[in-house]
Amino acid sequence: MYLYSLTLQRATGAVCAVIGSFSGRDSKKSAFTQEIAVARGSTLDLLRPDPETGRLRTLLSVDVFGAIRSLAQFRLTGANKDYLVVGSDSGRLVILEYSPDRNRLDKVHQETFGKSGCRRIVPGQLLAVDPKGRALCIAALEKQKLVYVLNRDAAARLTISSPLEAHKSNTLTFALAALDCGFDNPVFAAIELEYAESDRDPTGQAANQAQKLLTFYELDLGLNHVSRKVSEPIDNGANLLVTVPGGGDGPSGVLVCCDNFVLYRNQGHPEIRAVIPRRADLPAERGVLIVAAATHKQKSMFFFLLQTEYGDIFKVDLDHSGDTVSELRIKYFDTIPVTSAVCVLRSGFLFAASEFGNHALYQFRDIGRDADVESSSATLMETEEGFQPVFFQPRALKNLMRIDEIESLMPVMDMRVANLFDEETPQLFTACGRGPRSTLRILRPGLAISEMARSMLPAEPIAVWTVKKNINDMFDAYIVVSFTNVTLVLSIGETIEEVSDSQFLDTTHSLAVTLLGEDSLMQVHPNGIRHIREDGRVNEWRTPGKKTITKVGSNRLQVVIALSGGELIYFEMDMTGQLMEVEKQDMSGDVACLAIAPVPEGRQRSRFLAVGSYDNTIRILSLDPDDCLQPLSVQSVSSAPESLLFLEVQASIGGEDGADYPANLFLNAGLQNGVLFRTNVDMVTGQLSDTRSRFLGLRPPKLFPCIVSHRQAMLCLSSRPWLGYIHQGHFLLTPLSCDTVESAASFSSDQCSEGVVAVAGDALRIFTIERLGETFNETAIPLRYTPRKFVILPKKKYIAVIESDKGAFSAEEREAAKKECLEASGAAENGNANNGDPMENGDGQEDGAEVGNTFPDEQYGYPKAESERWVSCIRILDPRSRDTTCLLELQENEAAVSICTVNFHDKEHGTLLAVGTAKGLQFWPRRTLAGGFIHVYKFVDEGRALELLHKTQVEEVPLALCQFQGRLLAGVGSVLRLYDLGKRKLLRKCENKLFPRTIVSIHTYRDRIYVGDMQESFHYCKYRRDENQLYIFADDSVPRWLTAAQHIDFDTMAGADKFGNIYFARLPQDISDEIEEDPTGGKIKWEQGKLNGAPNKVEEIVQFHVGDVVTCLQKASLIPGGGECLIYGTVMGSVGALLAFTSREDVDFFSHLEMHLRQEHPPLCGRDHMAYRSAYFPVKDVIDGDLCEQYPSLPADMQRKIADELDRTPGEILKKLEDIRNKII
Amino acid sequence: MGAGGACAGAVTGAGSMFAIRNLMPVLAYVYMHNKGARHVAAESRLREKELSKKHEINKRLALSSDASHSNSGNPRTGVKPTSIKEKPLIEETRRAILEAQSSRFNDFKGKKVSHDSKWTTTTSSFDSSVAPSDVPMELSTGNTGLREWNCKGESFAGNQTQDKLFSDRQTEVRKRQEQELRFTASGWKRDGHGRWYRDENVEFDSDEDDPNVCLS
Repeated sequence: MYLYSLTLQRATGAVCAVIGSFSGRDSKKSAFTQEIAVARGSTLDLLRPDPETGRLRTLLSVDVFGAIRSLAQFRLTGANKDYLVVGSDSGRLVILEYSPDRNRLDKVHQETFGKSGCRRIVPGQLLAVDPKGRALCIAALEKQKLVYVLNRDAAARLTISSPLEAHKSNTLTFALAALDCGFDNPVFAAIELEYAESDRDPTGQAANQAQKLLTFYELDLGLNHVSRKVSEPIDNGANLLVTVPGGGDGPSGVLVCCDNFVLYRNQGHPEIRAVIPRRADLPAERGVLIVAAATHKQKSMFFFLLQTEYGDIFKVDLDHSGDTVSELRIKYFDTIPVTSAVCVLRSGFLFAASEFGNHALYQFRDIGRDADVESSSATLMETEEGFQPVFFQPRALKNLMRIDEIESLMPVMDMRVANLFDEETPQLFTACGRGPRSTLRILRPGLAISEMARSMLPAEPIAVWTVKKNINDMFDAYIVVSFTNVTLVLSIGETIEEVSDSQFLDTTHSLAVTLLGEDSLMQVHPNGIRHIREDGRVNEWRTPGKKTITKVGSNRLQVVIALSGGELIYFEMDMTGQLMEVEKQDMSGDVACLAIAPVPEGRQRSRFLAVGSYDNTIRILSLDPDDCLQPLSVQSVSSAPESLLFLEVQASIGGEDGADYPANLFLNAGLQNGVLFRTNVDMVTGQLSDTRSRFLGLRPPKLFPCIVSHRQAMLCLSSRPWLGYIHQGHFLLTPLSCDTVESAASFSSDQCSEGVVAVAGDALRIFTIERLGETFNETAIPLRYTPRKFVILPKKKYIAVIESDKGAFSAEEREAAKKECLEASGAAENGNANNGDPMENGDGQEDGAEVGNTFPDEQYGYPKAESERWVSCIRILDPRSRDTTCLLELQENEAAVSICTVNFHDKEHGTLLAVGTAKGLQFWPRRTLAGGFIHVYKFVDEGRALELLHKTQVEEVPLALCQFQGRLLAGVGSVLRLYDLGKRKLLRKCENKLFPRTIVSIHTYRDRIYVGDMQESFHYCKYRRDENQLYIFADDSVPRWLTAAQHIDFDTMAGADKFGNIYFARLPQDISDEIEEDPTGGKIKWEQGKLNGAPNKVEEIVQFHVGDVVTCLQKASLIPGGGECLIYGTVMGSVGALLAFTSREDVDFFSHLEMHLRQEHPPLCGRDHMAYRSAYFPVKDVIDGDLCEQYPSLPADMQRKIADELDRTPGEILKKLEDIRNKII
Repeated sequence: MGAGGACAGAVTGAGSMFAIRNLMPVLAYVYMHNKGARHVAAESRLREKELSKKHEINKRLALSSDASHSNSGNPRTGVKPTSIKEKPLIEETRRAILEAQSSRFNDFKGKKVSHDSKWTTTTSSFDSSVAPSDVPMELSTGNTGLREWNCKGESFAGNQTQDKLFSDRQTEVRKRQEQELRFTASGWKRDGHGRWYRDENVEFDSDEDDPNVCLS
């Protein structure tokens, strides 16, 4: 089995983010061009906020084929551009430079320092750069620290020295920062812990007394040597260092963030300590940790924003005179969701890369100058019990205002692919997020649209056009809508209203409406052409005899009409602005469609006319005066063409949004069998080459030109609309997420510069297309707690979700606490009886809207309970209406862990819902629990609600449930058990206790049971009815920490482990046959066993390192009628697919392409591609489509070189890449 | 044994006169060595094991031949040859019935061999017939006897009543087998006398059917 791996949705979570002026080019014009570099696991994104629209735009997204662990930016003194330093698992330090002209990141330096991988002694986890850009330090979690000196040569190019070592054995490093000491020797500070003694002392006394140290390392630039200068004890809760500006701008030194405190430290400076204010409702046992920090520095002042693990942001100020700090103040600023990185932009924005859930862009309304809860080092009180805490109550946003949001699926907890909405393509249902930010997201392949207006029309229109009055106008003047026998003209202004003074003929239907020349309009109707001049004169051309016009093709200066019977008449606009008949030609039969290529710049006319005929051909005719209407080339197609469109791609030499490509002319044809046919037209000879076709839908695609991001694009209207456009240098054809559209045209007005006007049914719709370049658009339904698993109830198409959280209060308790709080504060009872309504989804937002005193939990998080408390619920959700029809909150510290539907045979209840729960589950210091249960619910109220049938106690956590032969299979700890439904509880019928650790997944097929063990991969079992026995006949010899499993076929299972690998385990065919043929089912052999396990071993036939923890696997097809592929979702919020190759040729082609790309285009962060994909097991029989898809971004000569090696043309390779992608999505 | 083999290999491998001269004593040593207590014990163990294996195989062969005998002799009971091999008592009863029947269908018994050859027993078709797990088992067991009987049935031509009786019995036996299977699957076991008792590791509902009553 050979597979093609392709990431459909790149990771959406963020590991770290830095801000810098990476493009640097606008530094003279305005000093505010800043970009944000965001590391999302193995992709590196460059984002730029648009100050006008207030939206974040992705400039660049690169797959680096390695795990990015840290990022830092620096600038050489006097330079106007920042470099980006990447610490990764490659064992190399990489310095990147962004080139805005070509929109790519270039590797400036790549320094190898040692082993690769994310190990504790491999540097890369911690990174600090001297604020003056003279040195950088890259450190590992343990022992190793390397310092590189940065400089520049005579040509102002960045140079890097060989590394200086600052290693110290038996030392853990928690944080690293570079001190700002102006132009003195660079100094790095680190929080360290020496563990040598603790390691040697078996009594544990030394470990208890272990002391964290704040160590300063000085790089002596003169001696080229790093010395460990000072090492001072520091609070044992210290976890983060923040550089304090120095060198004239501030006192230098570092802020040390500790559990509950922030300290100011510097060499030879006394410690200044202030307490971090606590939320009033926080249990006393919980501390407050700082998780993210940002510094904002202006010429005259600086401050820090520190975010706690609960999401509260504090502004930290230092009072200093010279190098002496007198006071440290911590003031409550605002509360936003917990982030993994915060970036403050000079243009007054704050980018919050959320830990889980959507990222956000905020705008500063104030910088916290108003009075608020504040703690200060000056007022710090020490009592016998410790330091006096300061309390505050979170409030609504005051200093920040959210202006944009970037969707993030992180983490995908569970996923199902199903077509619950009966749409053309199935939807991906993903359970995402964590805690109060949990959501169920419905992903649909395609671009999202946002509707701006919709108005009903008196009848069903057949076509729509927009026209400008003058070619130089910014916006369109009219929308012309044609019905079967009338034409309606709407004028675009402040409002859109019907007009009658436009001179368009309104008593007949129209075939085309367009701007002709500079400023005249043309309407083509069945009986003639109406030419409306700018001064109001109307020229009318009538068809000869009883003939009518059937088809029209036109551009700015040329018009071709086809009359009934197959006669073509060609008109051209002359110098005086008159439309003149030039040539006539009789075609052999009726004309199916016509199109004229756009007039090339600086030319009088276009040379090409495309004519589609019912004999399944497309002809290119010349429009040159010499050989007017003479055929240039002919292309036969699979079905009669219905619509034609020339799309001109102007030459590009990179730029912000593109790669280099020459000017090109493409002819697109929508065929009657629903296929879009695309071919390249030679701009000189008119010869057609490089044809591609793609099935778009059941209706023949109608093609319309439109404008997307200032470029020509194409709308293809089949049974659903598609958009063909160019994004980051690639031509993409993507469906739009909207209903069938009859006709469409581009739309530009004051309110909406780039929109589409469309007619669908009897409605006129105006919409814009959003988030270009994305594969999926999503709809989110908020949930109450972290979703763990869900099942789709097939008959009713409802979704049953189990949610649970640790250390939180249940909804009722929170409600009661809120009420108490309100009463205590004397607020009038506002009598909202539905406050505690358990039917709402997220239960935060609605409340927040209703009650002024409470805030959405999504933003503020839940009030924290004791860490051992669990809250959990079971929810039935109707995805169509997005309503929760039933929500059962579990009581008594129970948490739901598994769910399945089961249909017991012989029993009257029909389909039941089984939910496995654990009571009082604790993970630390070791896993304990009070008991496990399997709840059985029956559906009432037509499947909308649940009723508990009974509850069966089990001795371990039932992590896996599955229906099997009319009974319930449960994995209870390490026991596989078969249950039947009893009157009062589930009846244990049969069990097998021979599983090694804990059963986490059960799949069944025929009489086989495929059991996934938490640590020991798959076990294949059989159930013998005549002996009432479950036995294991095969297992895996590789220990795998299973995180996801999916049944592939009778002998094959797909699994994913927690180290980020996907593998396929297959029982060899002969063994499988043997087992099936053996009347004992291999029982005799089973009794023997092999390697302390089952007698037979499965083979791992596929190995692939995804680089991210895969949490769910599903076999599904994302395109109608397409082959099935394996879809996976990951913790970092990415969605990918593995497609099985069907031909050996393709395997050879793609493996060669992959090999060439590995050589010619090594990954950006320095990790060897092969080594990355083989991080744990050598990659086997999987071709990395993400690497292959980097082919179009190579320079043209490189593309040609690789194509030559493969005996193909670059066009063929691109076509292959496109084809295989189209097979998946 | 292994050590002896290794020694002999080494001696022949040397190939010199000296080696040949010394061959005899070595062989003698080996012979004596192999007479040692541990070797003798191991050998006897091995023999015992082989004997028991042979015994087991013989038993199984006998059983399976019985089963095939009953299958070929009587297609009505031959639904699932594997399911009846370890139950000698039932087997005996069954054989008695079989004999009784075969005495009535003499002409049929004569055709045994030819019928035998017409079993279509491909595992794949067997596999595909087993319903997926979410289908109630009744359905799937209804199809388990996919080993189709391809006999054209010339011998029964004209014997309508016999035919009817035959098929009635067939369904009856099948039904009973299915019932028995259901009881075993829900945790009932049989003692040496064919009586049903509850498996102590299995849980039962208070009002569950007793096979001793149902099947008697």
